[in-house]
Amino acid sequence: MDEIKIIKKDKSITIQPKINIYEVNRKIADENLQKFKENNVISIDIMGAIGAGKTTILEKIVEKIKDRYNVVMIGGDIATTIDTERINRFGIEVYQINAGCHLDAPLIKKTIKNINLADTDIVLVENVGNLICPAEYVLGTDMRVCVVSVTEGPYMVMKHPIIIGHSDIVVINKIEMAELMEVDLEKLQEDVRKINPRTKIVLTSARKGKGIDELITELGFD
Amino acid sequence: MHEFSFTQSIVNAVIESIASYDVKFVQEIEIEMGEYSTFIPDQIEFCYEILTKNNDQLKDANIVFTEKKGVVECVSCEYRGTLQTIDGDIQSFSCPDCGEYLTIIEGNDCIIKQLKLMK
Repeated sequence: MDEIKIIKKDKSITIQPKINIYEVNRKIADENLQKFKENNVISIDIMGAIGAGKTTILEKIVEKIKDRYNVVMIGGDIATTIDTERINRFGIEVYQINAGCHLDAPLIKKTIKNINLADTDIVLVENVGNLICPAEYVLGTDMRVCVVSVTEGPYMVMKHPIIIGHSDIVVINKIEMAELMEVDLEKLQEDVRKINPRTKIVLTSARKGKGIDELITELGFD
Repeated sequence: MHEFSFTQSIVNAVIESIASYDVKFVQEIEIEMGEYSTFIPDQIEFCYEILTKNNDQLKDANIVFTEKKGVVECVSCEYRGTLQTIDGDIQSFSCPDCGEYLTIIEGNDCIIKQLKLMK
């Protein structure tokens, strides 16, 4: 950190610390990613609003891949261990982080110290239910997935361009409810593409298991 | 939503920066916010007031926010500019020239640029 100091006659000093508040998180995120890569671990950050269906999607994914891969789940929530318990039922290792409005890289760093990464194939991180804060805090995962659901209404994508813009995959869940909710699925996908032309879109009806195989393929779990 | 912890990081950075100076109080904190950062200055000021109310060196500091313009680059073509907006004010990561993805090069930082200290 280069610091320039100017001393004035009136006993005031001007200093230029040039400290970037985001830098700490980004640096640790890079370390986390490095650690995952050294151990050939595929890491995924699953973001999305409360009730979008993140845990249900994770349940369906874990159910399908747990016999082929060693999977570890890290779950973030303000309170309770409900989500991690749901995933723990499948007999995989789970870690609960009771965080504020988002997970951050230091929390992940602390958690993965407890994980034997050498024996792990996949780390699935379920972020805190929120479409705003997680967008700015990278965790150091290979991929970032954003789950939005039809029951959140037709404007969720357009209202949250930053998280959509930073996502590698956007999952539109609860598609079976589209007609009832009067949400136009084509329009919702068009909104995603307008904001982020690179992201992959997967339509799911997680409770019914629809779209899960496609999502597993997009995540690279084959 | 995380303005409080974010402001705590700012406060910690200021405390750290002035530690080696003989400072009576901090008069001004200049924070350069990236255009694509989602923080709202008013909320940071509000949190700052609460977080520093018992700190005589920091509590009366005037916070000045400046904006750092964002810069994005297209992953495919030569485009270099800013994020375009669609439907009014919705930021799009789509390149206006070729439609490919735009990567943020500058504008998502928050830098404590300058501190005016009184001895």
